[in-house]
Amino acid sequence: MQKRGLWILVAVVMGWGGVACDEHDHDHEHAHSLDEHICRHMLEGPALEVVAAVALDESLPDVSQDHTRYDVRIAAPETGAPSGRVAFASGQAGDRVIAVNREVRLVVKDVDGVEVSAEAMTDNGHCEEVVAHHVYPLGVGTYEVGITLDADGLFTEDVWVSVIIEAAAHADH
Amino acid sequence: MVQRDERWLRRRTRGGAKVLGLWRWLVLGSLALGGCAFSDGEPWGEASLRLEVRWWVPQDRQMEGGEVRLANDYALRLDDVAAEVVAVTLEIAAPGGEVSSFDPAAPPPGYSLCHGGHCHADDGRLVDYADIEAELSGGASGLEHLRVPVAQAVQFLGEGRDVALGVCPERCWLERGRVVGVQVELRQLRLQGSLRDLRSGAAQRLDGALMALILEVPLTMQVRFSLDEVVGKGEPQRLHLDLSLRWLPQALDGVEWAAWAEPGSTSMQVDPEHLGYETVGEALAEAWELSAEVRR
Repeated sequence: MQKRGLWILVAVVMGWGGVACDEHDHDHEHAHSLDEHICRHMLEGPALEVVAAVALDESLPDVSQDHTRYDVRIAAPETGAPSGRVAFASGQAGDRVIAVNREVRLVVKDVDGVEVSAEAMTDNGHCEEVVAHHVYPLGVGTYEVGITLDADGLFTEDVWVSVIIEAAAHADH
Repeated sequence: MVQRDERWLRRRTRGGAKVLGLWRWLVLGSLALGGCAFSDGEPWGEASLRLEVRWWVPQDRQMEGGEVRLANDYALRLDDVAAEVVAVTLEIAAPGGEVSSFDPAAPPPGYSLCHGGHCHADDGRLVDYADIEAELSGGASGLEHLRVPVAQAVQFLGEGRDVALGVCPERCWLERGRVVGVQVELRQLRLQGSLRDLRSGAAQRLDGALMALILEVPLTMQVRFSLDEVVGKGEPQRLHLDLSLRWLPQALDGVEWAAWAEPGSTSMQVDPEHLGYETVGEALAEAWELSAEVRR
């Protein structure tokens, strides 16, 4: 009888372990899938070119379309690092991943000009073309996304930054 | 509408079987328990429909005072919204008839990069799988249509409104085949309410704090939902569809309302006489979503 109880205990522990492994695998697969998804769009497009607003009174180009790589052109500044702004219209509340192809600093502001704090910044483990994923919790509304090249030096030519914005809960791929 | 032939009205008899063995009783019993068509004079299938229409606002768009937040930073309040429902139509494929099916791994010409429920069209649009299926099915031959007239203007603000359907032709009996889709046909949308610009300072687009809005769109459109319900031997006879037609605010996210506002005015009326109203009309047409709960 004791032996039987021991076997049941072993089975329960193993079963529990199996469930835990499944959940881990699921999370891993989901993260992997999002990485793959973003890489695919970074490599294959579809792509649209926009010119970032630099002056304060300039209207912001829209970068709101899902599953689209936006190649953002930022004018060479007279001094400092190239910096520009684009607009993202969020149609649903939730975390958004802003994926970029080079080292940049992002500043995201809501309609009232309040800066939204990034929840996380992670690497894309699937391809070298994506340098970082910045994750922001957004509501419904239009957000200003400021992009500043994270580099020193003198810039005599315009620079390009490729940007993809996707829902973090983009599971069904 | 495709002319329905009379074959489906023919009676299926069991003549000649004087003595039934135990196995036949068992087969008959199991079919009866399954609710399958087997009685003399009854059709292969019989449809019944219920349609509810509602203006549905997701929680993340709900604002205080009943306003709805749009992604382009407008707050919309609706006091009245109405549309005319013209008809509900079932699409029926004949038995053995091939209805083109859509495979995301091998998208049809004109589409690529299919994933996550949609494909990229060559012209840059993002198109849902369901719409591509509808496009493919629409091109297939052999589809019959069972069209139930409605012709009723429905006000659907707040809770969902049941729509009184007209008389179903041929008693809603179905011949053998597959019901592959259902469409709701709409005409004429009218909404009345007010708009508020959530942007301030230099970014503000509307002069007044509140802009009264009347919008009339004489659209004619079909909203479709894909089904795959077999009607025939061994299948339940009854096919009940609970249809839910929702009008969603998402499609209004791209409408730049300030373009319609007269300087200094506190109201705007958008109708076909206004230049460019088609843009708004198209956005409103895309705001519909149809779903169906099937009971057999």
